[in-house]
Amino acid sequence: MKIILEVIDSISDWTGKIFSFLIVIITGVILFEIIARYIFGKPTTWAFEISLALYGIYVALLGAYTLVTGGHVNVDILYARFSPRTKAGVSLFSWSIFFLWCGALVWTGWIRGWESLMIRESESTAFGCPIYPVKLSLAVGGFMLFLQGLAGYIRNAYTFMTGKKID
Amino acid sequence: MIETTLLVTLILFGCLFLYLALGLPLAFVLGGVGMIGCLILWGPSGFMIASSQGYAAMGKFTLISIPLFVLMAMLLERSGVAEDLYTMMHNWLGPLGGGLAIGTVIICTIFAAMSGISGAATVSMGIIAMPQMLRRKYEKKIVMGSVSAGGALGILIPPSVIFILYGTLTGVSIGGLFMGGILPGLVLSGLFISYIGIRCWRNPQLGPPLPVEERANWQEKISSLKAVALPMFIIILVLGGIYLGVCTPSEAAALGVLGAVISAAVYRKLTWELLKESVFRTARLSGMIIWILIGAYCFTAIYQASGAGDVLTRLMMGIPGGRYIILATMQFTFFVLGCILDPAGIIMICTPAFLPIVQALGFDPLWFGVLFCVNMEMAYLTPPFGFNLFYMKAVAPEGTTMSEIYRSITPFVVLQAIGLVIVILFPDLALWIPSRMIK
Amino acid sequence: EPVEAKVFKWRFQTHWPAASASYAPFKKFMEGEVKALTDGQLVIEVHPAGTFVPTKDLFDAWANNTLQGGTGSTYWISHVPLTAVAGQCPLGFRELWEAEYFHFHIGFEEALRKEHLGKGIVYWTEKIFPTAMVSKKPVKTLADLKGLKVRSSGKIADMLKMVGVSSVLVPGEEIYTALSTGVIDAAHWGAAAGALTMKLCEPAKYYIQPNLAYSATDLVMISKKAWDELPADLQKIVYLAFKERCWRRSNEYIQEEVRALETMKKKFGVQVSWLDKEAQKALQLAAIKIWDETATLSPTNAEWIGKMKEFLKELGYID
Ligand code: NA
Ligand code: NA
Repeated sequence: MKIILEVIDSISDWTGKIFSFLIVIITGVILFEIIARYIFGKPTTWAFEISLALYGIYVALLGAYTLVTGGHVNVDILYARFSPRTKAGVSLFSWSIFFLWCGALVWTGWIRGWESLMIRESESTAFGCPIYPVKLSLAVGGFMLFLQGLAGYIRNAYTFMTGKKID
Repeated sequence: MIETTLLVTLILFGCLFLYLALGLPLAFVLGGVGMIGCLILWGPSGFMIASSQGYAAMGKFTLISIPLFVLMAMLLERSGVAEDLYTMMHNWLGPLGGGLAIGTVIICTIFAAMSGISGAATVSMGIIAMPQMLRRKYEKKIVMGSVSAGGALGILIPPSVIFILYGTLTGVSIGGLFMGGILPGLVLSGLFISYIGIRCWRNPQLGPPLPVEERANWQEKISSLKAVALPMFIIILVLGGIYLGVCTPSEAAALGVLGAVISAAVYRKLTWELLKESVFRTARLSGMIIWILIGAYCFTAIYQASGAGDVLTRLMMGIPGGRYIILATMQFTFFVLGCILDPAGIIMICTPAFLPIVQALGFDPLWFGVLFCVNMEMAYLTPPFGFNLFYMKAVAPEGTTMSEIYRSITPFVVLQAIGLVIVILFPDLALWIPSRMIK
Repeated sequence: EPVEAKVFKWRFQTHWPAASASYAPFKKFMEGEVKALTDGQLVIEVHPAGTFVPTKDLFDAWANNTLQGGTGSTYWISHVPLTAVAGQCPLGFRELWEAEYFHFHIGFEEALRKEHLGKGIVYWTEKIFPTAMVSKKPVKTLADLKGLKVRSSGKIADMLKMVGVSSVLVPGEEIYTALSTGVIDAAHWGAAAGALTMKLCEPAKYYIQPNLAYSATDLVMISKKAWDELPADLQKIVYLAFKERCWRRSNEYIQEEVRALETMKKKFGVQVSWLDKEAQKALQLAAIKIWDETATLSPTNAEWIGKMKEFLKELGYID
């Protein structure tokens, strides 16, 4: 069990780290567009759509990374006062709505991402940037977030039952 | 109809408070409670909203400036540019208590002119300014409060996506709104500065002046001035980019990153290590911000679907009393909604209901739009759902609790409320510049 | 005692924001007239853009019956390629009646309805309307068009590029700022009424004629699942009512355009600037290339592009 949880952690960590470099590419694409348009008077057809699509993928795939690094902020006024075991018990209750939402996101996101891929859905613009990679990335990113949430849930369940951390 | 909506409102808001109090991260509280509402209103056929609002947040070009400005701030902080800037400010403002916090509010005001949204400035200034002030023994509360409040100025000082949204929904001149936001923005900024100055003057512990023996002489002061060069270069690059028509405000954030990279290179700190660390932390913070927005979009969509707008219209129609009572009630409604929803959501719910009444009462819709934005400055700070509170917690030093943050923003919310009253009492603050611009 | 008739409750979302000139009449028709025509058996609730799902997702929401109906534009060409003939053929018709003739007499609307039914959606044209550009400087000649930075989209962007225009993409929220600061010189958002709503006439003082397109790109769509639940008599009423409204609404819209242009001229000092013969000719040649590209998307597209060209020949617009 412990090994499975650690594998999930490291998947979230590594995908996050790899895809976090997309922001460098996004910066480059936008700067290229600014230079092409302002200095050379030849705006591109693709820069706007590509940077927006990359931003979408970037955001979607960061959900799990933010979670595994403890970046999703909460209100700790009550929560901080609980004992570790109470915290775990409370989390078992509160995180159930996370699964409701994230599950809805992955389920509908997957169906729609797949349909989008099947018809090779693209923007109805001059450049016609493909939409399906962005839609699929929400399904994938949401699924990773779901897994990471599940890993936390299992840890909480263990702590709640035994009073110890999985180690 | 009203009864159902009120019941759904009660359930949704009750759940929001419950799950937030139980320590579930904000993003998941908003998304999860949204799904509960979805089940009540539509059943599982509404689950599609979850992915749809995900696509919505992933497809908004104006949000691109968030990760870009965060990356800029990371690079400035890690390369030592921020450090030198604050040393310079400390040298110059040495004898003045709270000088660095005042300087921070001024930088926030300039930042507001560089960005159309608010989140970017709070996180960026949190990264750049907070460690510098804390290291110089400034009190944590005044540090966090000034950055949260200053960071919110982004939607009031032009450019502003909230003004654009209000303008297209109501037909009010967007240029006029932009001009109308300038003076109220400066009034708020001035209130913050005066407050910090007075508090630190009466209690120097809050923002300690530089000890007399450490104060710089003129030669040192002049030579430390070169630390302004690079930040000035970035500000000119971004502001010039926007106002000389080189690029749109969202794109301008990429110029900010370029400026920060050049600055790091000038400092000879542009290493792989620096880039990597900055990129990772940017990812973590951007992930936090945008996933909060995904959850918030989801919740707002459901809340709108519950018919909240219609109920508000009917409630507003029924208010007895004079026009200023109705105006005050509307502002109070904005304030209450501001505790729970984000400004864009509030505009969508309220404008169709409020604007006809505002016009019938003979109020200037441009002035009303500016009042709305001043009011929304508070929404970013008011618990439980002020976005800046959460952004602040993400960048605050390890171990900072939410209650510390709540306490830090309280005086600033009072100042914002005073600012709102000032703009209500002196409409010319919002209307004078626009009246000069539009013949 | 007669049996109480079943009441159907539908939720619509439009692709217009609440402030759009098109929103209020649509809401009034759906919530008022349709209810009256069906003796209260069909109760529709209309919501503005973005209320439940982003506009791009409306198609899925209708197909899945999450929403029972609403309005859209020709955004979903990947789903229904034939919408490209309606929405992506600039400089075709020049007058309202011509487009109406093509849709309702030659039978283009019926063809679109058939294609949409296959995707789980029942289709009507909402209105036929013009698209025109506003600009910060007068645009008269081909030389004026060369290098002009225009916020454009779709095939109009392609057409403009063929004559030397620089097409720029800027998000909707930033068009106003981009025009004010000079990132772009010109933009189109509908025609006069659209430019007035978006306040584009504040920074851009020239209204460029002729229209870039006259097309049926506002559409009414209903989920087929919801449609199939209606009894036949209600279906008939709704079908005819929606069809009739398109004529009425298109006609009304043209008058709104005239008024909007008057307002722009009087209140904002906007001037009309006409493209000369040479520039118009060049744009027309570019447009024909675009039509031919659209024809390659599917055999049905080819068939309808053929019919459109035949009709335009009859009108004497193309050789
Ligand atoms: Na701003
Ligand atoms: Na708030």
